[in-house]
Amino acid sequence: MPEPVPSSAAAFDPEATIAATAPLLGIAIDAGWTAAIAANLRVLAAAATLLTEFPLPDAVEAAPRFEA
Amino acid sequence: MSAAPPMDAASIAAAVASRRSTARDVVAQTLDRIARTDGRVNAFTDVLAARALARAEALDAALGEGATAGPLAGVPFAVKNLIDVAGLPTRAGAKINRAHPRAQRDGALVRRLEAAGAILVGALNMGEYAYDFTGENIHDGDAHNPHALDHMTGGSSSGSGAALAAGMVPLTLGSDTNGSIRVPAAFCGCFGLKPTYGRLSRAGSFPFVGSLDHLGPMARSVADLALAYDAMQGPDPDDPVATTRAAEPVLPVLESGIDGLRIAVAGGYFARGGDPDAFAAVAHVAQALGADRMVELPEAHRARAAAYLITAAEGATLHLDRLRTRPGDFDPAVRDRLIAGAMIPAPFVERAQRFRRWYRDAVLDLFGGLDVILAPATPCRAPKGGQTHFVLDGVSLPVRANIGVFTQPISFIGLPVVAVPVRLDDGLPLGVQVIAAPWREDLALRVARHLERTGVCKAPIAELT
Repeated sequence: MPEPVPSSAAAFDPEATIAATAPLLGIAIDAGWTAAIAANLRVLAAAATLLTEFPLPDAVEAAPRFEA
Repeated sequence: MSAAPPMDAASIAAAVASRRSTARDVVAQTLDRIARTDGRVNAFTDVLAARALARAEALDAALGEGATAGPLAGVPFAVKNLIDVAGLPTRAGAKINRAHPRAQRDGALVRRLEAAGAILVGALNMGEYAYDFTGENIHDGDAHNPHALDHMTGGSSSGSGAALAAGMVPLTLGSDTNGSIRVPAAFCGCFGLKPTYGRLSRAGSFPFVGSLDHLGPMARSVADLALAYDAMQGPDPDDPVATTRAAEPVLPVLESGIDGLRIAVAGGYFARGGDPDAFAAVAHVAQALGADRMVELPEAHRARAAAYLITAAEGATLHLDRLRTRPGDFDPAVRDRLIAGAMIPAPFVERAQRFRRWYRDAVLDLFGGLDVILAPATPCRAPKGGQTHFVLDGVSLPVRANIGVFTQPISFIGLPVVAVPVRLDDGLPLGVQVIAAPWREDLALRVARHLERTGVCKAPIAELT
């Protein structure tokens, strides 16, 4: 099983991410929305950290069907 | 016509089948109760009086000519407004969808219920695009909890819970991606079934997160849940994830009791981060079932995180064009979460899906040694309408994002769950999840029925004050 990979979430800058990715996505961001989107991105980044810090064997694939 | 007290679906079907009642009278009384009640509850977005009365009269005529009554003969029901209803745009709680073309035909589950004799009377309020646990909707107005009108119904199947608790209909359909049947069932004090992922067809419904979306019934009795569930089972090629398993009716085994069932209480993650009342409700149910064994679902907090990520990313993918062209027409709380979801790097989402496989395998191992797991449905009773934060275990948290902490790790891997209502006192109801292994809805429903029969769980109609 691979070793846990250190998270880079501490250096994450949600406002910079919004500014960089909104044009790529083609979404026009009103300045008044930025704080709420950034808050949501922080929550999502924390969730992502919980997953990236958990070692998964390479052989674990996403199920092609999600039927339980 | 007298205003008879609302009956459960099974009683209505028996009365209509035996011709002691006409379907027309049942539907007329239902429409009357909706007209007198819904102004305070706001459960309905559409009432289909002409359609329902016409169907009722046709049913009465057929029965008068000797036709065989279906198992849901004359039972009025209503559906969350993300399910197609012929002649209506499928609004999914959204202002944007109101301009969609009218649905050409009813959704698959509506057709199956009506084939069993049930009669659709309306479409129900919901949180925008089902991305909601509160029951609040800035476009259609908030649904109000019939047990305390200034409290949340829970969401996103808000009208589905509220219409039951107010006694307007005996049967509703909701959808559940992360808890949207189980949360309003808990807050509104009724029963809800989130079946195994893929068990019931989602064809003819507006999606949210394809890899997590379920449809299911809600009712005030377990027998009504089972009646509806049995009528809706079966493969459907129109839903790409619908099972090809044949229907497995639960009604024949519903009264089998709990002898021999191995029942455990979820500990660890599911025993912290909530109000003491939420855990007291689980303990109350566990004691009634003689369940003294604890079990820990491994890494449940990561499962919840993974469900959260997948929901945001898949939801954003679904709505990307609308976010580009009509961002101002979304509920801001939904829009801002979806935009953030669009910005998640793909490796995180794929990681969440891979973790899903790991977690599924780990949890299925647990079911090798037990049959049913009990867990809280929500971390608290219904918050006040408009409440944005609550304190759980001494920590202030946003309500919207955290009502589903105990439901998300379960639906994440598609397990069947019956949410059962618990009344600890004269206050608002709570809910407990009765969770079974995949395809074992029968076990969860048997346990729920035992709890109902022994008086531990019940779903009384609220007295609106």
